[in-house]
Amino acid sequence: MKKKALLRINVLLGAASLALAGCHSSKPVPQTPKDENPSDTTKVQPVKPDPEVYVKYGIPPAFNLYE
Amino acid sequence: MRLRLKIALWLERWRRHNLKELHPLRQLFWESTLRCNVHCLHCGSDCIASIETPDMPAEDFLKVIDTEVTPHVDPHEVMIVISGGEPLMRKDLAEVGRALKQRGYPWGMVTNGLALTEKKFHELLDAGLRSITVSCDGLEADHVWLRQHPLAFEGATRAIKLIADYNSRQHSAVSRQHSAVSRQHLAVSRQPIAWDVVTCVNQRTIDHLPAIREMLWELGVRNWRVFGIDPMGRAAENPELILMDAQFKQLMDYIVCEREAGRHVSYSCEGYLGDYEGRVRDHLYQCAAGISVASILIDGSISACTSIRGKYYQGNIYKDSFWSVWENGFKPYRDRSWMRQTEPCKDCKAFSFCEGNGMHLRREDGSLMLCHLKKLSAVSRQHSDIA
Repeated sequence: MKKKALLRINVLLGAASLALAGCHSSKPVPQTPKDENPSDTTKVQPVKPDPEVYVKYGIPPAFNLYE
Repeated sequence: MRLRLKIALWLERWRRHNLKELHPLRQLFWESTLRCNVHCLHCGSDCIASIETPDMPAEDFLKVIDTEVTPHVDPHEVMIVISGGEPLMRKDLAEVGRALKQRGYPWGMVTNGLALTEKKFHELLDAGLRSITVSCDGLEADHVWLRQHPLAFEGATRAIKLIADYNSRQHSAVSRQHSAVSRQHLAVSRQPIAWDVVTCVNQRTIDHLPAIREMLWELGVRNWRVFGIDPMGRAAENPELILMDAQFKQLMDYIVCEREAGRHVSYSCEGYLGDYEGRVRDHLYQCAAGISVASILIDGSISACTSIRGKYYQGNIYKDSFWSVWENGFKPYRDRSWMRQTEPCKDCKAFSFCEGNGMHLRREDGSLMLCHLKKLSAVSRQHSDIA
């Protein structure tokens, strides 16, 4: 129960701190296919990075890609 | 410091405090081999012992996964990162990947690209590879110099192009998925892969960043991660590799400019950056070592990030229960108040936010080998002295 509560609190804290720090205030992060116009970011899906799985010498998170 | 940023950092501190209590395992590194096909001047893992140290047998690692990890986690939430050395030196890499995929774990790797042929790449994709980072440390001459291999640049750029082209095709397939036929096709075809390029910036390359960025974008890169080289491993013997204070600030300012132009250039996760927090990364600073990150090293040692010094190893899979160590060990990682007693943290006002910088930057004696904030502050002081 406590674990669930902490998890929920952390989701809120994470969202609030990122918003306040302006981490997402820059332009959307494009995963632009090469054959599309890179300047047209409306066509592409923004990547939502998970800070908890992004470490030095590490790798970008495999967001929703696992079957 | 901006008030909004200060509040954000306090909230992040609170979040980190909760996370330490929860310590959910989210990323598990496996140092699968120390063998490597290049001989980097900056190698953090210092692969000197590679000839004497055999690869860890895959069955030893998978046994830990089966008996110690899987019973306690949702495999889909734990990313396995196969590291080295160069992971592609292992002939059984795809077999291990397939075994992880069967168990439900996403897995990824970091590579110099030299041995990543098209055939190997597709073999790994079939084995469940979900994420890949390619190291590219500059334009050709600088990359070859740093990697100490004449074909290193050719290998890295070929790998980058291979992945970019593959992802481009997969994204195009996704965008056509409105048709029933395409949906059916997608169900049996592969998904795009998460990937980026990572660059160790040094004194030779700091002034070439715009040219490197242009070259990478031309190859199809859209996520670029950069970092300075730490004074450890072979890099400790080569001061030319370490950025001077002013150059480090130059790197920060460059990243800010690129991000303001809408390009996804990021500083790596290491180092608290003061006023640059929120401006050079997608997240605020935190060292997740031992909190959500663990590793199994080549000799079975249980640690967090693979570059952490031996003193902070928490056990060994050949003697200890991995899960018991994860649950009950890692005290110096989850309570970092001991770092408060060390230089230069003693009187630092930023300690609440930074908590002693990254664990991988702590020497065996507990002292800190590099303070990013101090580097940035030194430049500010120089500027104010001149003014």
